[in-house]
Amino acid sequence: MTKKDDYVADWLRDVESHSKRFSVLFVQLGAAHHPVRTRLSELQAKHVTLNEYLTQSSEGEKKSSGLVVIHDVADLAGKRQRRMGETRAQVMADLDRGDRFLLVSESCRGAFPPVPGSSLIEDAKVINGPMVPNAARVDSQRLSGLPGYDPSNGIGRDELLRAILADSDSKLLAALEYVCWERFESPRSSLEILSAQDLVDLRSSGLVQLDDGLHAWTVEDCWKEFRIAVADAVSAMTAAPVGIEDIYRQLWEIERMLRMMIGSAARETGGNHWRKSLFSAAEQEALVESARRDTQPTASSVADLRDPLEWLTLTALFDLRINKQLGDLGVAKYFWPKLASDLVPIRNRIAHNRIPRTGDQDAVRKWHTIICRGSSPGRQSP
Amino acid sequence: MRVYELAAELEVTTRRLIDHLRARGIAAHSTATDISRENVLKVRGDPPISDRRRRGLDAGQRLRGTSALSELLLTDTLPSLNSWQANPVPAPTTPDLLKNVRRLEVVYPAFRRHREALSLLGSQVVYATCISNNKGAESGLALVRFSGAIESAFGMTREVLFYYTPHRDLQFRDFKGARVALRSLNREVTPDLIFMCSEDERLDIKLDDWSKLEFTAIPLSPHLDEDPLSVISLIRDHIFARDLFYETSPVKGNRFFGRKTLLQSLRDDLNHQRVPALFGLRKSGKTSVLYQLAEELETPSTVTVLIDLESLPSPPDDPTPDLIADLKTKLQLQLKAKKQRTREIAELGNQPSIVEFKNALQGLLHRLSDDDVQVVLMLDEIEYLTPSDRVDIEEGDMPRIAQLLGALRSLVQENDNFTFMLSGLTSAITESGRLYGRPNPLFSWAKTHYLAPLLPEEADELARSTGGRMGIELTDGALESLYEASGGHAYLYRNFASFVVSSLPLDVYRRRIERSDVLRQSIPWRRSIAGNIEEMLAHLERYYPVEHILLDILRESPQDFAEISRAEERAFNHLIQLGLVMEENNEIQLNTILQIS
Ligand SMILES: Nc1ncnc2c1ncn2[C@@H]1O[C@H](COP(=O)(O)OP(=O)(O)OP(=O)(O)O)[C@@H](O)[C@H]1O
Ligand SMILES: [Mg+2]
Repeated sequence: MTKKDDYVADWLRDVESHSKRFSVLFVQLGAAHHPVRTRLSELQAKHVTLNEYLTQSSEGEKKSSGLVVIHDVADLAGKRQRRMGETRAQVMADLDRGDRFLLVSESCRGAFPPVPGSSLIEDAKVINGPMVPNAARVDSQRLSGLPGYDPSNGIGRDELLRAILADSDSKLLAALEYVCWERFESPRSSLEILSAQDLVDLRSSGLVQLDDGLHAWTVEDCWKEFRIAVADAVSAMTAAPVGIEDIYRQLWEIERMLRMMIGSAARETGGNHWRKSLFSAAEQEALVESARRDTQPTASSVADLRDPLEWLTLTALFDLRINKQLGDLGVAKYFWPKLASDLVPIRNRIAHNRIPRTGDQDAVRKWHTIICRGSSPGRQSP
Repeated sequence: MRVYELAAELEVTTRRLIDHLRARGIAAHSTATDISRENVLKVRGDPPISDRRRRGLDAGQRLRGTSALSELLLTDTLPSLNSWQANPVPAPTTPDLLKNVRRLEVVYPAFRRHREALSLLGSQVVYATCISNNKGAESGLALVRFSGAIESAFGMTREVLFYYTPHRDLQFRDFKGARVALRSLNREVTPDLIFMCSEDERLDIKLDDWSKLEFTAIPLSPHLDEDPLSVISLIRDHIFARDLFYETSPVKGNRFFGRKTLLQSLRDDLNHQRVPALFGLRKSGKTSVLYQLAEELETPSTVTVLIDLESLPSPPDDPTPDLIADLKTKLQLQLKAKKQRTREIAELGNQPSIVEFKNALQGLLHRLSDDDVQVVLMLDEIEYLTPSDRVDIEEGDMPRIAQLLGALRSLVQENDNFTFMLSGLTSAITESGRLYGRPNPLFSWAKTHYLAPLLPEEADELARSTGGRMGIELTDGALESLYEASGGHAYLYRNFASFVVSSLPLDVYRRRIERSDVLRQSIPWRRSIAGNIEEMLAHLERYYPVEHILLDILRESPQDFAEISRAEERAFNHLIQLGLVMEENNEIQLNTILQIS
């Protein structure tokens, strides 16, 4: 064992003792910690793949296997949740016997689909891969604290950044895009606007570490290069993120519903000439212009449009409700501002073919339940 | 005289002396503080503050009950031998016991050394015996009562088993044998801690591997150091290394705290064949309540079947065939354990229809009622039947779930020896008028209960008792701050307590958590748990959309909240019942776990 590797042995000892305290540990060993994976075999443990674990039932065996390392838990990410439930049930049973678990994954926690109730992944104690101690680092870059950094074998700064981002979960990429490019934050201030779940994932992926109890980027001294790597990774993402179809469908239904609700109220308020009475001359011109550019090249006035409201943006539609005093339309009045502030950014993200962020799916689903299934008591039936 | 001078005279560190002075109400700000003659005399008259250098037992010295105990509180270096003797246990005198002790000493000479060391610590053997296995080898069992000082420092309250095994190559079955022996003693003994002595060179490693939180075996070398204080170090190293607060699995029995009223009313419901439904936040302790309830219901004629729905398929896949199969297997298992026959359900085909299943159960229950056997079915993680985030539970196409619940309902109505209960996150299953395109069989029929956070006194008991078993004492201020920061949420409370414990030094002999220890850890803890709290809220967002929005509003514009809470009465009540908001003197407040730090 070389000196540089000793810290891994220390870390393995920590894993062993953490497992005694926390019973179920989750660790992401992705690109940043790649060399650590092979060292896991040094753990005094039963080493299995998920398949082996689920098929080689240890039922009937009374004696505990001690530590069990499941090496490919990432297989559960994006898979059907039944398997997750089965795995949890088995783990719970084995815990009773005194087994302890190390769940090793290439993906971060956020990549695992949420399950309705108790969750193996959520309930596991997250530990992070080891950092190379200062004395053993190959150079002074902060990134050299990550075991995966190995310029002499062709994994320098750019290669490592690319590799880490390439196996990042789409939601994490979206969060990085947000802080690096949309908000244009400084490294420090960006840490304050990230969600706690994103921070957990950034830490386990090696991009953020804890410094004196505070979060700090491992890429702080190469922020410019990091931003570029983020931009490249975001552009390179072409596979549809998990859950996109639900977000898409539910947003579509919510928006149709809102357009119908606001539209019919507007038509009622505007009377026979609602097309003209609802909009100023300038607004009418803008609506017709939009329609001409798109589906109705020959339209010359709002009277030619089947439904001018369709050419309003969602924001303009919300404004119309307020400006024309169309009422609450069965949605509790204090919900409207939240509805707009929650939904418009997500809708724009999806409409512009960008990547959904952590929490988007839950927010859309929540409003879908309220608007389309009328589950809100605040929404009196019209 | 200055602090440092007095410290040198008393042979203690200045730090320790300053603490001591403060505890005596004498002002001392630094090592250079001048102490009045009068106070110097007072302190000189105090029992030794720490006499690490005078370890041996001073034979002429009388044991000093409370003052020796207070010395323990003041010191974090190894306290003297005589302070451990405080509140000693009288030496055994009954001839029978003495005879058994001598016999054990003959078989295990190490036992004699241990016993002598213990008696120098004011601790005595109160029971001894040898048991021989079928190969003629003899194991030794002794029960030790520790001195009051040791018991209170390490949170022991009962006799502790010392187990001597003849095996040089210790096997897991020996370890299990010790547990069995412990249980067979039929005495009030410490259930989760024993000392185990064997010549095995790898004793430490093996016991460490086999020990679990609920059962720790402290390795006792036959060649333990002569110094009785090494017994103390041994106890300390093992008891302080435990973390009994950290626990993610459901708990029951002596690890379950509080919830007395709730358990009572759930028992009432079941006794009167009302179907209770228990709802609560993630990790609030739902499954623990079911476990505890099942344990309390346990009688020779009650069969309780607990089913966790999570390992079954979930809509849009039809879970009913697997659920029926699972029910069938578990019911058979439980009935057999109670020596009951299970013919009616055993004869069911491979994939029975709901009606066939119901009829079989009907027949079974009918027969069981002749023997006064009761059957209680508990369905946990009910949201797997109604994943409202995935399917429309009111009108979605999953009629068999509604049908099965309907069948269970009629079984309750037709048999006075059957009932069931539900538990999960979301109350939609009992509050929604329709279920999968039919009238909901549970609507306004099941009786809804919400699982609130632990009450302060329940949480205090949890902390005191669990802490005690690790030799940790908590001050009132510490308990208050623990509760405040975690809002009494069962899992978070324990998680925070565990976090604070892990920040305590290990090299002291008296562990005590004060308010300041808790406050110091509160921000780092919140940071460490922020992701989990976000996840809990995400679950709320999935199953309680309106409630989730109300929370947002309460956070962002509390001034509007009173009015809104009146308009959204049902959602507001949910928030109160789940313990997410509190109403105090007409003021509505967020639970502290939701307040951004
Ligand atoms: N009454 C109690 N006394 C002591 N600890 C408790 C109690 N109830 C719950 N806990 C603690 O909270 C943790 C979670 O409890 P439990 O698993 O019963 O909750 P749950 O609501 O069923 O969680 P999940 O959402 O995972 O189903 C337990 O591991 C235990 O540490
Ligand atoms: Mg549970």
